[in-house]
Amino acid sequence: MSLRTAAASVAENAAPARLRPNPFALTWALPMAIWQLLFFVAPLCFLFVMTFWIVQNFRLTPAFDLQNWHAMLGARYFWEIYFRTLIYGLLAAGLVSLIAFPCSYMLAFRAPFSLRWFAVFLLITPFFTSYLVRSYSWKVVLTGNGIVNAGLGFLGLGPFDMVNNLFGTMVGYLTLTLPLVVLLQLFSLAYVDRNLVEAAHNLGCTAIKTVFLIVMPAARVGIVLAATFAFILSFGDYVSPSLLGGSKPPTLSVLMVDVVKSGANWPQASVVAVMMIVTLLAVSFAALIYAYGGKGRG
Amino acid sequence: MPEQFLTLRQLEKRFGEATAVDRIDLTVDKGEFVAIMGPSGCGKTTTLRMIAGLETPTSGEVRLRGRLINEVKPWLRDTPMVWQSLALFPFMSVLKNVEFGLKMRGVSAAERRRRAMQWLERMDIAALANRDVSRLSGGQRQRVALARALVTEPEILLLDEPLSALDAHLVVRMQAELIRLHRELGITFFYVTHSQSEAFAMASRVVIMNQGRIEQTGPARQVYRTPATRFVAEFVGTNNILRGSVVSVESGCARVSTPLGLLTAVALNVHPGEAVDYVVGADTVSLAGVGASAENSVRCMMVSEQFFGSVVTVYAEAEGIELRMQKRQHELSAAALEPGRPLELCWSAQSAFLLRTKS
Amino acid sequence: MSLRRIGTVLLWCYVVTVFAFIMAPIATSFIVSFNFDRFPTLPLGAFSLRWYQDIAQDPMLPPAFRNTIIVGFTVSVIATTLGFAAAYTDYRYRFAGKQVYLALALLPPTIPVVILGLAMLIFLTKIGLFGTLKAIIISHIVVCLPFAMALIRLRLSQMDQSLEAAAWNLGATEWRAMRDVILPFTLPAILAALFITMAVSFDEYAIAWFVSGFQETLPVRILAMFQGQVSPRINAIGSIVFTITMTLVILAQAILLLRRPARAPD
Repeated sequence: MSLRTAAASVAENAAPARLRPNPFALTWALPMAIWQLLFFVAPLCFLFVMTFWIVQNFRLTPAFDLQNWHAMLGARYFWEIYFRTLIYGLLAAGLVSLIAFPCSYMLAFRAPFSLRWFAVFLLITPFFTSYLVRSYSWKVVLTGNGIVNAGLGFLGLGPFDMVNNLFGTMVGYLTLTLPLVVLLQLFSLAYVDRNLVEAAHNLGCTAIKTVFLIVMPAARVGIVLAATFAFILSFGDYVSPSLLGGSKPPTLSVLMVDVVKSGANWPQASVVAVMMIVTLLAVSFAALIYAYGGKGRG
Repeated sequence: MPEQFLTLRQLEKRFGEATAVDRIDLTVDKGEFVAIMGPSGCGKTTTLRMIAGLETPTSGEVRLRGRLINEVKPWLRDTPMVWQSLALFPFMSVLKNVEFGLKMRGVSAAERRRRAMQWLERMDIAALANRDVSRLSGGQRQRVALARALVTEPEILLLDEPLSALDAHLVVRMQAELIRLHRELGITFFYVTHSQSEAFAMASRVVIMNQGRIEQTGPARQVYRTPATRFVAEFVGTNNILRGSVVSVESGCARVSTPLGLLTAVALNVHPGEAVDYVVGADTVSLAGVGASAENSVRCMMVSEQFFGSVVTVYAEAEGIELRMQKRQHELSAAALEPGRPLELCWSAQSAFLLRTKS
Repeated sequence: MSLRRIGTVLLWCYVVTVFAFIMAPIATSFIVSFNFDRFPTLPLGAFSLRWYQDIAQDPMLPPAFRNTIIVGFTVSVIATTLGFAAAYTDYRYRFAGKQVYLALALLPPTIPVVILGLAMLIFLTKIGLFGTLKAIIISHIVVCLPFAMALIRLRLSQMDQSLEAAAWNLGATEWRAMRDVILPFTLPAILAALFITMAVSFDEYAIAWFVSGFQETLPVRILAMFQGQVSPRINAIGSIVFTITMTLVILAQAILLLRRPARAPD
């Protein structure tokens, strides 16, 4: 079949796709676009504009001034917090991916169909419950005299410092990201071609080697996407570092909220926000290239 | 002259750079059963969609009863279609599905029900009226789709490969059903398919399409017996086609030089030296020695045989070219055929004909 | 037992542990809320309803709860409507800039909520909406819309592509086909979207904290309570919130997973 007719035959079976603007199409197409432009894009753009405004005599004045940028980016503590948040985010993403993988692997490869669906159901439900209250639950349970330390005490261990430090923050990040990462990894692994795995076994590959040489590369896209989401969520999270980490040391989100709470210096808070967005965009972009680059799609 | 019911004039449809339908002309009379046939991507479905109003022609005209309908919206045309996937509404009962067209026309509830039930009875599925469509067998769903399309009593019915998803034994039953309906209703059936057997079983007129163009159109038997182009000869029936050039012509008979030697065929309007395709139908080829002697014979070696019902297709090879012979099983039962056996195939000059090779 | 067998058993134990970790905070919240002790420890104290009685008498809670409900219902209806419109547009049409259009709908979850909160705070103050329920509603719609759109778009992709065209072919205008074919087919997803968006709005604390001013929602009230002492009162409210959101989410999943009866043989 010639290329011309091949293209035509694809077009023959395509879904209807009118391009012409008409009242019906516009009724459905416009509302979401207008809403998001007004209330999603505009505020974010305005945030960027706000970084150039200044607070003069306790009043917010429009300007085109770089003083907020100088103040923030020139401050040593800002960069301390920035890199700390970056490292925390990467640490969280790595940790949760590692912790989730054996679990998603078992569910994808060794669980019967119905069990897998039940697991998905069990993962989705907590995903939508209040992250705030769940974090608080952990705080209660992990404090010095809390349930966990008391239990460990019976075994002759501890007591351990599990809140108001990095450990607490990490527990919080895990609470935030684990369900989502398991789900995303699970869906990605479930679509790995089983014939590849069987072929590897037939050729003498042990189970563990198969996982590293065949399964992981095949599910690369899903795994990287899951880790990226985990990074995005952890990098921007406020609850874990403040509630479970005790805000010491602070992260970017804690810094931002502090700036707003004390003195409401919106321009400076906006600088922090813009830096966070830029970082997130850069990391997401890099992750997408890594996930979809290399030897074609995973 | 019968009324020109449906006219396609220089109809063209392009999708960006690709041309799906390449300026075709076609006239369909009222009450005809027309089958459009061709390989995937030949433009038959696009043509159908343009008649239904689901695609807008790039250029050319679609006229129904003389009226130009290029720009008329699909819901304003009266061209109901039976879809390849049947497209029954899954959240409606059988009755509600069939009533749909009438409901859109504003027919009252009681009247809708009456007419829909009439059709269900006609299609022998009245008992299924309140059943959920997802709980029907393939054949039952087919009937619902037909009833739904015909309940508004249209003048033309469009069918887009409706039997392609059915089991073989159901196909035969449904074909008989469609022929019966066509005869009883007397309306135009416009049937798109890639299956030869379907087209030739049901249609009075057949249209062969390829790469957006109409290769040939005419009564089914005529297209089968005398394909007008090489494509049609290859696509329809089982034909042996050899490249050759005309050596001489005398009294309506041409001698053609082919890779298998000099062969004769009935031909008019050819001149010595012309490049032609030499075509002989597999069902007109016989084993030498059986029956009267024939003008053409070729020595070859049998490769294999294939059974389809009572018909046997024998594949043979000579000079690297494949030859096919099609016979009824009982005609070949005496011959001891097995792969590797030398054969002599023969046919009369009358069975063969010539096609000009297109550049 | 072979090594492989032991490995498999250990791995399944691991899976159970992971799920236990995920479920633990929900379970412990319930346990702590019904526990007599103010500072829960092992062994657990007696069963008690005192914390629930306590919050029943908190004057700041009923308004917060009412606000959360009002916001939740309004947001779910509008977000689901906008999400449906966007999903249908994506399903039906091809146009230049479609990628950007889809990004508009699907990007909000990738922006940290605290940043969105700050941006909405600044923006809405500028247009004079700060401190109103409208502010929270507007912001939540932005955040909940992607969920509604994704759910409905998924359902639309399960629809026979010829179904809508079949309706047109039988005489239905685009509007009629929308009403009689598209909407009935996507109804399960629409209902699920209503529930899920309500759940998301219910739990959303950050943006609400930024923009609500004195019109607090329940999560904002909870956040404020964190400033005070550790108290099982928070667990009591939390347990109620959990119950509501989990019910919504379970309902949504049940609606989506309702099985079709099997087809009869030919």
